[in-house]
Formats: sequence, structure tokens, C-alpha cells
Amino acid sequence: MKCEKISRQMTALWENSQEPSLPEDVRRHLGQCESCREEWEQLSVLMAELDAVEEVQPSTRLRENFYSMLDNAKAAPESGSGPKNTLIEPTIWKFTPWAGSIAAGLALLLAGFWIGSQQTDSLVESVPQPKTVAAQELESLQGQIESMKEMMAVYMMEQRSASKRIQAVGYTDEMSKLSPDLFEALRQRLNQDDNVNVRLASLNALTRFAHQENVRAALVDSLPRQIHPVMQIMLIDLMVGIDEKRAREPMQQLLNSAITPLEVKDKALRGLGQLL
Amino acid sequence: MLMLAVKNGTLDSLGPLFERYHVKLFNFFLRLTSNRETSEDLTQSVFQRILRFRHTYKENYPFRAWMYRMARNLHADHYRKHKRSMETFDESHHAEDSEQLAVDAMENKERKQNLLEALHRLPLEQRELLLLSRFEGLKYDEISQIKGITVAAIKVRVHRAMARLREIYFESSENGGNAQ
Repeated sequence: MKCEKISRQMTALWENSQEPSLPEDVRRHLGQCESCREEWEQLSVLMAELDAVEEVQPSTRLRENFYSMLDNAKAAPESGSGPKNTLIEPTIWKFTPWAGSIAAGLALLLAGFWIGSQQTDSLVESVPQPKTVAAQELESLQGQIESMKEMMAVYMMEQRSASKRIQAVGYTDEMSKLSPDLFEALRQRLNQDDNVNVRLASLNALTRFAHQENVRAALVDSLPRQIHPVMQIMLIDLMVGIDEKRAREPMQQLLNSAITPLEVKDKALRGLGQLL
Repeated sequence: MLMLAVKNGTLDSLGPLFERYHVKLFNFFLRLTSNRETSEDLTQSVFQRILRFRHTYKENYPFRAWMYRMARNLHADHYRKHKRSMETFDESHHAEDSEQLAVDAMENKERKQNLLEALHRLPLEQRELLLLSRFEGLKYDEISQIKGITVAAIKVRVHRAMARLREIYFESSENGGNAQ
């Protein structure tokens, strides 16, 4: 009976805890009972294993579909049946005439690359060091494809539909570098977009490049421009996370302002304490 | 606060809720179904339901518990519709999806694969309980609201589920697995 009670107690200790400490009575019991001690050791191993399981990231399709659904719901917010239960496929090639041109450009580039690589392959036997040429071509074409993708994302950020703008911001997830144009487009979305979800997505996109000085400065500069509490809180969290001390001043301003919501003030106060 | 705004017509407030919870929900479904596509569809459906039934949200009810309650119901519907294939999966510890999931998420570590397989050998109710309490980090009182039973009953069930998981996990590792 005693062991059963201890056993239940041991499991309960792990509720929302990663390293629970044993109460004195349990500790004493474990000192005397080998089977309960073994159970505790196994439980500890198992919990550590469970906690070590990494989260899997869903595809970008999920976010795109969600914001499309939200847009639809906003267009007909009071309709009795609510949003349709359909998943919307990404429509990257359909919604603007220029997208078609860019798509055609990309297709040409890929075709060019394929033909080029075929020719290069045929030269392999006769020309010395052909791989260097192929590698250079590959690099150059990859660069061109990346810049076309980037151009497309920048253009799409000007779309009227918020979900399309979010989709455009999402495309930057695949980009390894942040060009000046893309940076400027994301900065504008972050500070000027009238939809908070686009601003939020832009913040997430820029966060990936928060190691760059120009991005950090832009994020610090963005804090006093944000009026939505969610944006203010997310930015404060980020500033604390990257230990950006320049954010102290705008955080202090938020704290002093009479119109700042209480939960933001609370966050700013704690943030200021952490950014000493 | 955000859900209350959604209820009152500020639908944009659902965006931050989506950003906060969609990865957690996706992983909850993924560990129940072992299928990425189904898990993404189910996650999307949860937010569709939240929008559709936003008027029924009660101010004092914790949002997270309300959301996971919908998630459980959606999974139960899905499970009923696809019971045959899921039963096959549950009985097969080496199903392709299970292996793929383990390979993808667990970076080929056999020890972690054993753990996932042990989880899949639990009855659905126990697996769901451990996912909510351990992976999703819900407190017992939240789970009690989701499942509509007392906190004391949740404690007993979590204890039984953990005991069963421990038994399966360490038994499989003794029988040739690489677990500690």
C-alpha cells in the first residue's frame, strides 16, 4: 500500500516539471525500497526522453491556408454558416499578370540551366577542369533564381489582400540572405502595414536576421512605432532575447506613456530589468 | 483576452493565437496520427472551428483547454472515419509512417524511435493523456476541463498511462533495443 501511494506521488511530481525534487518522505522511502528506487530512476529517464523529443515544424502551407481562411471569414464575418471547410491551395502563379511573367522567366532560367548543364556534361570528356565551369554556372543560376524569387516576394508584399502579403512574407523563409530591397520591404510591412498579422509575420521574418546590425537597428526603431499590444510584447521579448540594450529607451517611453496597456507596461518593466 | 476580442468581432486577434499554438497543435496531431498532411489539415480545422463557434466561447473558460477540447473532438471524428487503417497502424510497430516519423523527427536515433513506438503501443486514451500532459504542457486541472472528469481521476489515469509506458519502453529496450 505504501509503495503504491509513493508510486502515485512520484508520477504526480512530474506535472509541469522537468526536474522535480523529491519530498522528504519519498526520499526516505526510496532509501529503503529498491523497487521504488528503480521505478523512480526509470521514470526520470523516461521523462527526460519525452522532454527531449523535438517539435516538428509544419509546412508553410498551414500558415498560408490559415490566413486565407481568416481573410475569407473577415469578408463575410456574420454569415451563419461560417468559413467554408476547404483547404485553399497556394495560388502563387495565378493571382497577378506579372507573376505569370516572372514564372515564365523562372522556367526559362531553369530550362537554360538544364541545357547548360547538359552541354557542360558533354564537355567533361574533352575539356580539362569542366566541373569548375559547371559549378560557376550553377552558382550564378542559383543566384539568379534566388533574386527572382526575392523580386516576386517584394512585389507580392504590395498586394491588397492581407493573406497574400503574409504569403509573400512567408516566402522569405526560404531565403538565405536578406538583400537591401527585401529588408526594406519587410521593414515597411513591419512598421506600416495596416494588418497586425502581416506586421507579426514580418517581425518573425526579420527575426531570422537579427544578427545583422541593420536589422537590429530597424527592430529597435520599430518599437515606438507599434501601437498593437501584441506587437509591442513580441518586440520587447525579442529585444530581451537578443540582449539589445538600445531598446531600453523606447521601452522606458512605453512604460511612461499613459496609453500603454498594463500588460505591455508589465512586460517593459521586466524587460528593462533584464536588459541592464 | 485575444479570444474574447475574436468573439466580439475582431477576427484579426485570431492571428496571434494561431502563431502561439499552431506548432503545438500540429505536433499533438502528428503524434496521434503519424501523418503530416492529416495533422496539418486537423490543425487548420481546429482554427476553422474556433472561428465558426467563436460565439460559444465563455469568458471564464481557459482558451487553451477550449482549443484542445475541439482538437480532441476533431481527432475523435477523424479516428472514427479512419478506424480501420489506424488500427492496422496501432498494431504494427514497424509501419512505414511510424518509421518515417521517427527518422525525420528523431534524427535516426534508435533510442528515441523506441520511445515513439512505445507511445504508439499505448491505447489511444492513454497516449492522448500523455501528449496533453507532457508534450503540450497542460496542467491536470486544464486536462480535467478538457475531458470533463475530476483532477483526481486525471492523476490516476496519468499514473496508469506512465506505468504502462514505462513497462513497454523498458521491456522493449531489454529485448534488444538501445534504450538505457
